[in-house]
Amino acid sequence: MTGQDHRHHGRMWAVVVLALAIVTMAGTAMAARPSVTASLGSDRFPVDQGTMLTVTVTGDTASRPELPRVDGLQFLYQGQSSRMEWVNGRFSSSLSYLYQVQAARPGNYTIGPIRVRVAGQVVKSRPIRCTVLPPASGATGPATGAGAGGSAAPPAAGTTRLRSGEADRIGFMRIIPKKSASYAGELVPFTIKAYFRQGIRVTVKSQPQVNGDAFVLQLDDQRPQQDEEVVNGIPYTVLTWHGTLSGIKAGTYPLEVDIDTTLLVRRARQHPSSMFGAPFFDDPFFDDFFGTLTRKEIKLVSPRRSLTIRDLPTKGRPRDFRGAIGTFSMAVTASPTRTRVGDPVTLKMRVSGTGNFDLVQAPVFSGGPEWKTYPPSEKFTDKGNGRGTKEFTMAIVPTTAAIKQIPPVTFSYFDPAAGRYTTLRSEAIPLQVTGGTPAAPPPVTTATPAAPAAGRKSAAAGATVSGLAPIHTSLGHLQPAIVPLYRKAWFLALCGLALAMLLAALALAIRRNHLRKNPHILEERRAREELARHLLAMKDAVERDDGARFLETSRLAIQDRAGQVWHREPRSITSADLRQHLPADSILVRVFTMAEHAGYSGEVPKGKELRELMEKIRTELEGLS
Amino acid sequence: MKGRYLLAITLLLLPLSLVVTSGAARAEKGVTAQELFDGANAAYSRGDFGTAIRDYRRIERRYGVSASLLYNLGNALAAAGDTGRAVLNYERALRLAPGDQDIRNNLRRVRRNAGLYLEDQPLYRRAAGLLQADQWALLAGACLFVLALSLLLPLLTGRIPAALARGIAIASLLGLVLSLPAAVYDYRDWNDGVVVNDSARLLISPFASAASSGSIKAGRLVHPEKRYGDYLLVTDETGRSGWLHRSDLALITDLPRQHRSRAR
Repeated sequence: MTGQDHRHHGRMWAVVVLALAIVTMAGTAMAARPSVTASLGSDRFPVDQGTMLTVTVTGDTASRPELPRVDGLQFLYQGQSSRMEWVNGRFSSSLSYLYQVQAARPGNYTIGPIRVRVAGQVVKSRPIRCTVLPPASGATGPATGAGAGGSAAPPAAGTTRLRSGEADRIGFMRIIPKKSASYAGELVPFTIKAYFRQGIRVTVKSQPQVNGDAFVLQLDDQRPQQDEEVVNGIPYTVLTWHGTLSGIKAGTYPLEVDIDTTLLVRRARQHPSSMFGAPFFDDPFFDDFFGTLTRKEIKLVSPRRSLTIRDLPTKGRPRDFRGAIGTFSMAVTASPTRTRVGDPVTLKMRVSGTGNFDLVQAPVFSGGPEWKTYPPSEKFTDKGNGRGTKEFTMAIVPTTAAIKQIPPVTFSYFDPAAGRYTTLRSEAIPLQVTGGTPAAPPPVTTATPAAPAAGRKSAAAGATVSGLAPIHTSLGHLQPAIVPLYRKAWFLALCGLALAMLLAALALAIRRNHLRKNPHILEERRAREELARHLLAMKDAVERDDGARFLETSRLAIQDRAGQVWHREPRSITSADLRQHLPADSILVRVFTMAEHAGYSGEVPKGKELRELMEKIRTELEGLS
Repeated sequence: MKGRYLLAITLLLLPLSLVVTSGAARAEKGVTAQELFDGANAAYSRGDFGTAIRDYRRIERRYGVSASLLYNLGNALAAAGDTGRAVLNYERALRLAPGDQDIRNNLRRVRRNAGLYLEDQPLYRRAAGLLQADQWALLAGACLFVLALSLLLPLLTGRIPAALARGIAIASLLGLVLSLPAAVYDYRDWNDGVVVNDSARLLISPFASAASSGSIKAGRLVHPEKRYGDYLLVTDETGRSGWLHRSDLALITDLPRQHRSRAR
């Protein structure tokens, strides 16, 4: 290969790599871009049957779709399902919101665009059109079989769809609902099991999905439980999901679930058709087992079962029924039970049990106009498999002292086991209300503020805003940020000063205490100061050439220093004491004797001798110990 | 020599010119902001709350905030029915002027009108709520200062009666011991958030597809615990916790970004 060929090959590789990079980046960008699509189960449906609207959001986390108001159409939220994929190292997810569409009358309708907030931006779907037909004659529900519920989605291109039985050499899956008949909206617990033959390299790409639009499936946990089972003597790895499903509309529908997987298989180099005579292995897919490794997309599908959905009975339906189906209990508490007119009482209503908690709404408070009530807040604790507790907290305010009790609250639900509606009714709770502030004022939205007057604050402005204090007319000091006091310089300086003062006080107190315990320190200091004073006086005498004063000052200095060192009264020290403690040739002894004699002899040193004595005395005094 | 004179004159004039310039700038800024403020107040008085809110926010973005500005903005939002943001701005105003009774009263009234009641609080919470965090901090700082003075002065001068100094020291120490923990406790909530979306719901995990653990009213104070993506794990003032989308709440000290333009 020539150098030119090398260059040519290198250039070609660079082009290929660049092209791949561009394609990958474009793909990534496409995958990252959020999108919203809306589709109807059928764009032509009878007015008495409805259809399913599926809003699918891909690319990022999103808020619940904002459905447009369409005169004549009603959208009933049925649930949501998520789908995750990991393809070629790239993760993508989509979330589908399901709504049942019910029409009030036949006609042509346009739905949309549907708005969804995704990652802070609003994304819209394309409008979709549908035709609502007159009621189907004699229809009591969709046909059994491959009707609306059985319209399984076509497999994606390149995906092999294998129903159990066909795929037993790879694996199979099952859905096992606890009931074969239920009411619309009732939660039916189920178990989904996906069996994979041990030794087969398979990657699960999605959660189980229900085919068709007759059911909404909700998994208790996104991560399946993994076990091993032996079926007919063959060991399988089993993934198990638990959850609940609910039927949307009356009728008998096929129920099947599928799951997307990727299988790692060998690509065929030859066709060993003679090895297996069974037609099953004529499938080119299974030829791949005998070649190099390659990926194969497999969709495992469960066998079809049928599930019958019944409408809720209209007979005996309580007026406060809001759609709760299951078995529930209710507990109500109030706090405080002694209050004043206008003060709030917190009413806690706890609904526990098993059922469709999505549709469980707050129990109905039957208080009259003597009560002011606020919308309740709710908190749901999910215990899995449709079990849970929903707690509603509502503020209620008595507006008159004549109230003696909190009236009962009621909660109605449909019990599918008994096949009838049940209404729970709490006991009335005794309440002691005393006179106090009047009832809560009307909302501030009725404000009619007055004009602001001049001055720092307006006395008149806003005086009538339903009790709101008036607005301020002086802007005040503007600042760029809201800073806490402990980060303001002046406050830090104040605290720093206070701490410094505290430390100073502490140091002073410690020192004072130390001196009190060690009085000799003070004495020594006093002696040192006295000696320094004497030395200064001696120096002054030397400068004035005053020998008599020099000798007198020297005598006092010697006495003070010797008294300090020998722990004696300074003035009691004599020349005899000095001779006893100091060497005979000590300058101190000599000067002390000279000072004693100078009183009567009048002989004093002068001039140069004074300066020499001064230095020697200083040196010896400082060295005295 | 001549150069030295010039340098001296320049050094003298430079600080002077800086003082004059900054004073003029402050005057211009004050006048412009005050004019806008007056206009917004007039709109509020006419009942044109939308215009008032827009103009108050313009001041906020251009010039910064003051207690009065945030208070008036809170009033306008309350009057317009935006309870969440009204509470937010009252809370912000209280951070700047903790002793202002107008702000406290209006905040209490708006919360009450929206049914934002609190259940019975434990004694320590009620005690800490007697004052705002800055007020507790100021009290603690003053007590510390007095304590330091009462200990230092007798040591320095020796003229203050020991009994008097001891009494003052004990009283200020007691004040410090009470006010400092209250300040620390209240400062934990300094940068709480306020729910501003009427349809906000608490989620059990930080994903849009997560199940809701309940609704939460606009105007509720929430304490952010941690963040994941666009979601914050919060605990509200009634003790409920869950994940909220970032856009459903606003942090009290997180002011809108200012634009430093001088546009009139």
